[in-house]
Amino acid sequence: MTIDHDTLEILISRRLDDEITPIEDQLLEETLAADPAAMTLFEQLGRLHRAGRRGMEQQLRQGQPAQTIVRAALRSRSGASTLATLRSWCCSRFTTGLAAGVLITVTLQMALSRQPVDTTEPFASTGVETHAAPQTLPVTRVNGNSRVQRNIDWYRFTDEEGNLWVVEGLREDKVRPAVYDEDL
Amino acid sequence: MELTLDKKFDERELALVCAARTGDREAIEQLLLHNWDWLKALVIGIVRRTAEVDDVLQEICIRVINKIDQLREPHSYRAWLACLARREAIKWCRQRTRQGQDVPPADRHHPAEQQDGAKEAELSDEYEQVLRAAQALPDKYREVLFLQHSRNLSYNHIAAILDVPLTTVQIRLVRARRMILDRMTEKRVPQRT
Repeated sequence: MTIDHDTLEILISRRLDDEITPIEDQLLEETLAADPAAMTLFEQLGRLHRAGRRGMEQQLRQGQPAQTIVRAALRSRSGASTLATLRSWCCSRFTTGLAAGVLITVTLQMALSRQPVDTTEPFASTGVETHAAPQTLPVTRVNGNSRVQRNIDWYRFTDEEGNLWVVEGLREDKVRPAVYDEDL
Repeated sequence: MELTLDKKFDERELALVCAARTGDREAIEQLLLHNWDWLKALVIGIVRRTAEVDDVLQEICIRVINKIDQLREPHSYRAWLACLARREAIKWCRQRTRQGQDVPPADRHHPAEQQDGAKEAELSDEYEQVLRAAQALPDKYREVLFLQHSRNLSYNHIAAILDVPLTTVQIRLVRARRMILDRMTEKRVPQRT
């Protein structure tokens, strides 16, 4: 039984790679025995195969041992992982802190905005002393038909230069200084 | 019998893959060591400088460690590993080319061989020639040949690694051998004349 050249090369290749079946092996043996050219090809390919394998073995032996490289990679990964965890932890701490800060600020802002304003405070901070207690006037209607009612306080004091001041205080969480009037 | 051993080996590796996906360092190490030879052969086929193969392999290891949890199908881990290794090696080569450090594959040198006898030197010369001829092959042929030479991998394993049919592996090996033989025969003729 004769086989074509392509089949011969496939069989030789399978033999070299230990993938040949017993039937294929028998067929190859018969062909090699009958055809000197096939035998020459078989020997050439076999020689190349062995040389290639030996060459590759040498290449694989070169360099650092596999274990050294793998462990170095695992170590570097471990370091990177620790760093990443730390960075993530710091980031989350910062975010939490920031959120808490904003929450506290908003809460305080809301709480303080509801408290009545101490009208004497601004003057005290500027070093100006008040000399008179606030005079609370009766409830005043702003508009005749409006239901809005506002309490107005009047403060009278003399500053260091002897000027007399009157401060009108509206209980609207705002402080408005009264217009200076020499007659006062 | 061999098939049974092969199956047992695969099952063991599969267990390692599953453990590695959960971050088991020991499993990752074992998995890489089991597949080391063919991985290295694959890299050698792409990175043509022996001195740099270890660096590329370390990069590959780091990449594997970082990405193993993203492996969707544990059964196809060899193809995944090969794909990752190939990509990393090509990236390395491109970086080298950009930096103007590309060197032809003639850089292979085995100091130990020089100390051996004349016969060994002759054989060594033949390894060199075969390896150079193999390096000159188109990628798909070189890859399959290097894998076959790396650790007696079966056609099944090579097919799994390259994610191609078994017959493709067989045909590529035949053609690769034919091309190397042609190349080496061409070289010998001018030397004699």
